[in-house]
Amino acid sequence: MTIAIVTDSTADLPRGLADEHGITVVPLIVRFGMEEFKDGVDIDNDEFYRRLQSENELPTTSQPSPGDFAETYRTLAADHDGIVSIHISGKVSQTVNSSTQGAREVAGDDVRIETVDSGQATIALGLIAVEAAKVAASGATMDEVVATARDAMTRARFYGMVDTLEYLLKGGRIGRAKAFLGGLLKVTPIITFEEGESAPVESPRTRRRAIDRMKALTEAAAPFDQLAVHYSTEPEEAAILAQEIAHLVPDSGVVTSQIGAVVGTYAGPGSLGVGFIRAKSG
Amino acid sequence: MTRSDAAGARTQDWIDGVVLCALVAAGSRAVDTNRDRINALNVFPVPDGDTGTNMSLTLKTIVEETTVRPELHVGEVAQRMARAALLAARGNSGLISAQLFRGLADAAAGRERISPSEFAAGMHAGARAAYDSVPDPREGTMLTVMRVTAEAASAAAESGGDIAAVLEAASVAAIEAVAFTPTQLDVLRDAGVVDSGGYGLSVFLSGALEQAQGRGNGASEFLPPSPIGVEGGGLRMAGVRSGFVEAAQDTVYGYCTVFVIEGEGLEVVEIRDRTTEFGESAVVAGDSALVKIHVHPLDPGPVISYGAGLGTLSGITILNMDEQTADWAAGQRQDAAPAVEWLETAIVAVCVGPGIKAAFVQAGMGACIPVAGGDTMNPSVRDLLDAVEAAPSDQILLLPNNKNILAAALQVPQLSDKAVRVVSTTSIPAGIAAAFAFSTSTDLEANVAAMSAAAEGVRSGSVTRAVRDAGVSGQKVLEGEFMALLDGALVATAGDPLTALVEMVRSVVPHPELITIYSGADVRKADVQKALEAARRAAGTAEVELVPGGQPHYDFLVAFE
Repeated sequence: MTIAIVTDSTADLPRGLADEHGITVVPLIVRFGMEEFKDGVDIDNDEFYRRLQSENELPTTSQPSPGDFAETYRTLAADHDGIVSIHISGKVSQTVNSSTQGAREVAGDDVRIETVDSGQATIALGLIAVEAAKVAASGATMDEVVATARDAMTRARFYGMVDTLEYLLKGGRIGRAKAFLGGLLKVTPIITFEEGESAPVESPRTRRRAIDRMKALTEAAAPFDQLAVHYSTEPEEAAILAQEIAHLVPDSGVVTSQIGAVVGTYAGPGSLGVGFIRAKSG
Repeated sequence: MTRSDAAGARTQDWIDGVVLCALVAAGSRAVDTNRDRINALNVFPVPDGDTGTNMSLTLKTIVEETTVRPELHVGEVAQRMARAALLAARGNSGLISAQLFRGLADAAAGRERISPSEFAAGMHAGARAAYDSVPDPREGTMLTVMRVTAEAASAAAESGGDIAAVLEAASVAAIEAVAFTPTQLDVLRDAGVVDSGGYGLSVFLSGALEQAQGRGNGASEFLPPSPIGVEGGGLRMAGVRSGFVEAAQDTVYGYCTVFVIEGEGLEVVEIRDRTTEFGESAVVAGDSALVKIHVHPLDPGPVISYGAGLGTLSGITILNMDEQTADWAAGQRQDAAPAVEWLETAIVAVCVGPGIKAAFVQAGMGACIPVAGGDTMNPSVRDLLDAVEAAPSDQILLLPNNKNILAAALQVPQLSDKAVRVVSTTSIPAGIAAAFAFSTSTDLEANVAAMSAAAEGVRSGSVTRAVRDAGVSGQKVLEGEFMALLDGALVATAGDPLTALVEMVRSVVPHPELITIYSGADVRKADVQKALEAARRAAGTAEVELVPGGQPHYDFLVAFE
């Protein structure tokens, strides 16, 4: 009895971490004009951010096709009894719909496929997939893996500060973070995902304060099963932040993840954040 | 007899069956048109928001059951109306208003037509019957309005008024009596509304009056009068205070139980007394052959068994008022805040000036509600409480932003059922800094701590013109000079506001990280840009932002943090 874990490229999982846990990542699509790239496959993240800042037209993104998912599931079905496919919130992407359609084509007596709308995005989604993969590797049943993913969802969160809300707004993913808009004072918004979409957390006036506040918010959420730092274009800043919160997870270490092209289309350059799975309380 | 007056309008000094039907039909239409308004005020005896609906349905049935037939005398029409009213009556208000028809029927018994004074006498008899139908008559309700209305009608009839004049006097007196109901009934004063049943009756009379005057089409809107004896009442004509809405949900009201007993030799008075033992809000009316009972027992069973022992029961309706109340409360909440989602925590900030308000709203990330106030316009405790009650959350952070408003703000937590915490901000710059420290991700107490710390981490500056010669911080300031005050102490005086601002910025050492300047309503646009440039030059390493605050009195408000 073996269960495979699938997620999508919006999980922003570092390749090493995905490989370590045997997680299959299905890429979303990012387009500059007529040029189409598979997220994290055909385009390097740094190259993407360079083009994001230099080109006049913003890129667009789209979900993988049901066929992309079906193909992935068929391959995995050859040596697995079940597949748990965990994806970005259905409120901001059609990916989970696409995976469900793909699963319908493949699922049958030989292989069970469950798709899960994580209600999350970026590294918070990635860490949920890692939790599920850990349990799957220990020989858990399909139902146990799905239950683990759903339980991890209740303990998963990210806090992300963005340099500008422009990308979220123009990309149509502003969600409840629209509450930040309209003011005249300069702020560095900290956002999270609440009920499957962007929501405001705090509005620090400066970048330095925003980083301090993210540290404080992270400390307030401890202890953790997993903790990660994610960034779009400033790896040094991310490394410092990771070092400063490392004491919160003395055993496992802080995962550092670069935000990929699809999430980066909405977060923009200069984004920095933390993601985590809180430890089970009591 | 019908005659024409100088203006050509019809005047009428008698009522026959046809006229009575027309008057009642017009009144019924008016109540139906204004039904939702009447419902919205309904807080007594049970805040279930159905007074208007009950009155409207009762009146419609009366109109439907009383087909207009010219050969019918007014005595017969009134008799039919009274019986239909008793059978159709719904709710407290329906049953009490039915007594008006009982009174008219008694006054018109055996008559082909009645005079204005006989009509007024019928209203008197109706009011008496209404008082008698309730075991524990309370003033400040529909009963009071019926009594006062009848008195005004009599006075108008005695001074020779025609039907329209009598109805006009009655209608005006009704509106006035309705306005005074909060002074008589505490529950209305607490909710900040007028009595809904009384208002419904005034609408009925206003509709009938339009018919008598030959104007209106039955679709007129009659707004409720402002509640008298309620602070700030004029601002809140139709709305029920939100604190009352919440409190109402916690009270158990039981079942609204209504039925008719048909029998022989029924003792109305005795039945009324017994009915009060079964529950609240008893209304019992009828005669020896037909009695209608309305009561609010926690368990509807016993009173129905009691009724069944007296005769044949019909028209039994039992409504769960707790469900109705919950629906009503939900509806009121929606009405109070259309488009605003219910928040975990909301901020209420006292401030003035469009740019200052916008800064608070921005800082609060959609959770900050500005309430007007500041120097020379200190809001009352009631104003603050109302803003707190209206805010779309059960947890409120209150920012007074002025030392003269702090004391009033500190009264609010004990007056509100909501969890209210005052962050003791005493200036606008400190208040905005506190609001920027608000987090949707922490609880109320953590927010109080973070926001208080942020407020304390700010030095508040202001630039304003001296309105007379004065001694400030041991220095003499002349009328017309511009003073720069930092945390209340004079740091500079100058002949123009820009110089005062720059002097103040220069005086703050070591340099702060961030300086935010809010320009006042009186600062010219050209000076705003100059001020920003000058402040930047004076600010050393500090980052300087300037936004138009639009505040009165102060040319500049400045936050140093």
